[in-house]
Amino acid sequence: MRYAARWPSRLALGVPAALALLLLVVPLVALLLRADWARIPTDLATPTVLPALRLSLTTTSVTAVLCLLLGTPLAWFLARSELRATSWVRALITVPLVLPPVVGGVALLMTWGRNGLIGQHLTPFGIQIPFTTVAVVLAETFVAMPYYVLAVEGAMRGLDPRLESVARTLGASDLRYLRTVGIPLVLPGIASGLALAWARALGEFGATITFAGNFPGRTQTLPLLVYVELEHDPQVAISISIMLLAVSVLVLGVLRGRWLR
Amino acid sequence: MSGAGAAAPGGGLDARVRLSRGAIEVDVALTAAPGQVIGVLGPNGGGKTSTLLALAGVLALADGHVHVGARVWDDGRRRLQPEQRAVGLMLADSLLFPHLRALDNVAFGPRSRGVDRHRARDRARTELDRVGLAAHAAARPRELSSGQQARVALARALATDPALLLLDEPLSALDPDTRARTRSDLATRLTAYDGVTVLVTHDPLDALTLADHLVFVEDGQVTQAGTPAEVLTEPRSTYVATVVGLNLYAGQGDSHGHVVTADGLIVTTSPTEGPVWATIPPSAVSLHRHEPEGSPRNTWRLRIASVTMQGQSARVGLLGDVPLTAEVTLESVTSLGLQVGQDVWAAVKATEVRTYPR
Amino acid sequence: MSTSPHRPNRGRCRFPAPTGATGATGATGATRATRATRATGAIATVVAIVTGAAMLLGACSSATSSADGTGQPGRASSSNTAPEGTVTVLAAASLTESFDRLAQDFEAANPGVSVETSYGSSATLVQQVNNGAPASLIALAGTAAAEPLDQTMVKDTQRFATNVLEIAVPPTNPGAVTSIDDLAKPSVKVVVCADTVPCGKAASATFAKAGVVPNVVSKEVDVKATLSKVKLAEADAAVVYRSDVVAAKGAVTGIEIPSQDNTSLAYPVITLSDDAATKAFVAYLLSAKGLATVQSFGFGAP
Repeated sequence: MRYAARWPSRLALGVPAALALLLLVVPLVALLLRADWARIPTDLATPTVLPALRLSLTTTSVTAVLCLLLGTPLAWFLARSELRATSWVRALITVPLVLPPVVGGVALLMTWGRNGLIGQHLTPFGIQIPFTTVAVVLAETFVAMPYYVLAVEGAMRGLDPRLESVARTLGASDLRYLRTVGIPLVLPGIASGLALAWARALGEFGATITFAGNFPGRTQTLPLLVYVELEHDPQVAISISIMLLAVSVLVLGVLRGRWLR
Repeated sequence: MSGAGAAAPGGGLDARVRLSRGAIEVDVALTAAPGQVIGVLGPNGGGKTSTLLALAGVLALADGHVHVGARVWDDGRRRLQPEQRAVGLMLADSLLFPHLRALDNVAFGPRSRGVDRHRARDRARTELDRVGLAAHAAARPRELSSGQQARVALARALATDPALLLLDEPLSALDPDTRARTRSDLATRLTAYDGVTVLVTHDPLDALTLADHLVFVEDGQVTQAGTPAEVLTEPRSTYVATVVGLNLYAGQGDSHGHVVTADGLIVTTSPTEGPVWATIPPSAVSLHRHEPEGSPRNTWRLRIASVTMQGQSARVGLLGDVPLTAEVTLESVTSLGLQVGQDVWAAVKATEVRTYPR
Repeated sequence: MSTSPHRPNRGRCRFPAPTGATGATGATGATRATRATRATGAIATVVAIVTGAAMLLGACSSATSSADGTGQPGRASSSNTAPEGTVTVLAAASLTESFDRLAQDFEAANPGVSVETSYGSSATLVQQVNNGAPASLIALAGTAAAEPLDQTMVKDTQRFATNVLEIAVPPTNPGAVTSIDDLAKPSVKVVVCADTVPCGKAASATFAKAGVVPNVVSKEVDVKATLSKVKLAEADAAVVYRSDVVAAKGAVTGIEIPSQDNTSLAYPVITLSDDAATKAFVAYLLSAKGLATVQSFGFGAP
């Protein structure tokens, strides 16, 4: 009787749960199964891969630095502000998280493009952003910065605000407090924010291809190369995908214990 | 009350703090001479901490002023930022910077105020020595006991030579044993400090042992201010009376020694005419099974609402015409067979009832 | 691409091309592999399933055959019994505008027939057919695109149009482009299709013939993405098909490439069904009127 009563509910939950797991795991397994492991080293050494790898590493590093330099102060303002407008600002910077990246790319074109909101004022100076490496960095920053800001803001909100009051009565300016107390205490949060943002930037595709285009060595990052190679030599695309998957797993490993439990 | 608007004595404090904090309107005036310790007492949520943070510059004044010595820290319109004030702040649970060693915690203030690293550390060592922690300079906060942390926090607050030292429940996070020792360490250190100290606490013992002037703040307003002796003998609010352990009644006095309260009549041998406060020490109340005869002029039949032990005596809460707390020996509790819900006779000699104008 | 020029749906049932399915990544024709590898085959299966589901769900209406009715059925369809039923047409994206018009005219002339059209990249369409998507006929950009098609299904193959490359510039022509030689100037930002897709291969061949090394700033993933960069005036010039320039309807200006340098692409129509309605539609396409309709959209004679 007891088992008869339990099993239907077990099944009702277990079957969809198993399906959900399969939906998530099978594609990753499929990718690994399709890989020609012996070919991976040669695939990754092909002349198209190295420039894309170099470009991806450069642009994602610059993106990470931009997040650190610009995102940290923003996170700080969000964390300490009690204004109602703050929640609107937070909602606003969350938008790129849920926005289809290709829409982000269009928005960036409308901003930095030759006829864009800002771009049109740069054109007279001979500065053109689209189709340049700068555009890749802008696209990556656009999609990655929110991850960083939200992670760091969360960490900063965890700080006792009275620490800041004490520091200020001791004579510390905002900047000194942030430098000597605030940031050292949220370093773990900054680290995980950077890892998340970097991983997101590394995987960025839609905004990049829309805004920065696709040119080997200049704007063709690894995900763009995967896409192009899929039509040319799928095995190379799979090899690059395996590498990106490995990097993602590595980043998760770094975050483990902080975000995963 | 403190003399509002009076010029602060050289180096002293003259402040009137007015601000809104949630539902309460805070309006607290504080004056003190250098070297004085003002104890600010009151129930939680009454505006004590807000007052302190306004003095520190963390909260803005809606109105009022903060003068320290000849300097204007806040005139209700313009205010100096906390880092521009010669102020030291020590809060409950110490709030040391957890990633810095004790020495660097104490040196943080001098460093922030532009002192070079070497001299800042020298100063920090001196301050740690003064609170008896020279040997723990290299310890991280989590390696220190809560009492040691409190002393480091005090050393840190004093390392910048503040003209105004603000202590918010500095001992509340400590266990009772550590608390007594740290309280005496604090008292020792404060006697050597020549600035003004404002000590916020809800513990009367802290206030009575550390402060030489008390200010009671309830619902954002000062309900009483004075020396500990004044406050102990003449409380002017129910809260203050509870703190100093007296029964307090508001009433109308006449020249014959009658005090008419809202609930009943109290007779005294020290009459005061007009609106008066009357106090009865709990120890002056005697309890009887039967109506007493003879000299006591105040007798009421009351019901026992509570009985609590306190060392060798018991406090008996009584309800009736004149609500009363009596302090009797444990012996009387047993001999009278006092139980909650029982009716007893309470007697107070008229000579034990003090009255003073309201 | 978000700017891909889907024409207004004139009440006709349109199957979502994979463009929609992969839109979030800005991808079009994710399965345009020229080699049927196992990996792309698997993806194409998924695409086919999605498309197939859409076909099952799609409530198609053919009640819009209210055109002017001047169109006459082609010679082959003027048999004794008027054709009836549904013709399912899969056509290359570049044929969108011309086949919409063809279908409209054909339905007006044959009230018993309903034409359902679906547009996508040629490689994707071929994969869909190989994976069992129902189709009466398939019209492709370039004969090479037909190579992966399962030949056992092919009933007949006819060429019906050609397309050539053309330079598209923004109407303001900011790069002052007048000929293919101008594309080598460093001041002119040129976008082309990636080397892996047919229009990119054709562009490479053309530049080689013309002896021009263009100042390419981006190699876009398909021809519509390439064109969109010029429509947005972010690029000064793009090398696309002439039919794309015509389809852009003034959003871009076309500059011809001399025929000795140009690369031509032949468009085959492949019949996959024996039913009368399908034959009638193919015959109409190949009739003088059908060919004229196609050519009015910038295509050349077969």
